[in-house]
Amino acid sequence: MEIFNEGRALAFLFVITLTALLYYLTEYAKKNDVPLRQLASFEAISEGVGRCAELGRPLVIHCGQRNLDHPEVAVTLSALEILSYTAKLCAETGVRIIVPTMLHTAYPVQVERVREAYMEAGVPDAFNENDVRFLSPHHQVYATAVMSIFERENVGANIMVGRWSGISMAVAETSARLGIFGVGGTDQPDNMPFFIPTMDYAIIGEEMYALGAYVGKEPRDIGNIFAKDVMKLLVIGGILLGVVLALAGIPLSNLMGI
Amino acid sequence: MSVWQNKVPGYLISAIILILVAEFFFPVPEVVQSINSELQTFTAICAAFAMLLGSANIMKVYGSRVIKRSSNWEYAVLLLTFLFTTIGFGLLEGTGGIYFKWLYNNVQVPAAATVYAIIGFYVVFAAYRAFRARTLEASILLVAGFLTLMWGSSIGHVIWPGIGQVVPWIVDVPNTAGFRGYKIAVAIATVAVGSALFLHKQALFQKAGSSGEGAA
Repeated sequence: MEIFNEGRALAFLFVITLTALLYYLTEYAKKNDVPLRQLASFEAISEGVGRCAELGRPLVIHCGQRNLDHPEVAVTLSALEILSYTAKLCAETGVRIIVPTMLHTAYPVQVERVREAYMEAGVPDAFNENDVRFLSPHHQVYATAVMSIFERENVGANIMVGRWSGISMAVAETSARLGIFGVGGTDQPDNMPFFIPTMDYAIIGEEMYALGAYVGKEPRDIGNIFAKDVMKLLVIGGILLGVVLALAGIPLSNLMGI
Repeated sequence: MSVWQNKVPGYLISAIILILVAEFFFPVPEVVQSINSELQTFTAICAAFAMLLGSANIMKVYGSRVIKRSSNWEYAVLLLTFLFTTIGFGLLEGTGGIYFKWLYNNVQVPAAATVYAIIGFYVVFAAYRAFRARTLEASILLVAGFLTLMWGSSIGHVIWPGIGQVVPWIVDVPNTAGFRGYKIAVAIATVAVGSALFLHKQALFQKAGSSGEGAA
């Protein structure tokens, strides 16, 4: 009887290595100072909140289009971390935060995240539950509703993080046309070209996850980023090794029995 | 915060991740497969209840707008009318009913298609914004984009026959290399999020500051 399902042994090794690294490096980060790489997008969020505070306008933040029951939930979890951070900044600076959502499973979580941020900032009474709005689960309805919020509420900054479909183009372009400060982030290569020309800052690919952990700045978050960076180095090493072996006439795939 | 609120959800998540991941990697007994199937059904039921919460939020937000006669309250009336009409027909005759299907096919589908069609114009505006050669990177993008555009149109091959070799190379070599790098980094990050949830190293519903390291 086979131990692994066909073709899954290498993936299992990868997951186990990353999990072990994550555990070890999180424990390491608890006891030691770990330098974090700088993320320009981290400053961009503060810049957006600061701009809204100066102009006296609200900030809009969306957490993408992947529900918590979707297999691609990881990106939404990172977006929720970014939401918490942004909401706290808004609460501290007195900026009104509007959280439109099309995620029915994440909606209660978003309400609690924003409420918690206001409580942490010491201004629980400033939290307005009606500003976390479930608009519609339909992409097109959501896009038109958000575009109308941009126009009617005189929004100062628009932060779009998570995984998106084609409607992100319409939302991001409307935001750019209205002169709204924009930060766009996704882990989806198909959607990245929409954000790069229309947003002031783009959070590209893996940076979305790193930013989700970066804003926490707790040992577990720092260990998380550190583990991912180490794993990336190992993968780069593996790719280089594969290239060298392939050039030497020994394909790595033969050694692994793939 | 009590152990029930703090630790138990975390252990539950770890156990569920273990069961789901086991089926992916290993040949598991039928009982594990049926547990997985039940878990997925349970997820669908929870998601359906969450939709009720979402609808309640729409009624609350837009209902209060109508009651207070806030700006643009007329749109809120329209929204609530359509919401209740659709829910009403759905409850009375089911999603296969004549009136429910009529609303879907003759109101929602054309409206959604119209919005989607408009995206084409937004793409053109964004392309104009992207293709301004302000920096070296933007210039490279402009050249690559222009070549790809010409390659896709028949006139491009007439102007320069060599375009048939250049553009496939751009797509197959630099584009694929960048795309793979992007996907590998995202894959590592995605697995890391799953591993962090399994190890209780990532907050899911509560921030660490409010619920401790082990919060799920």
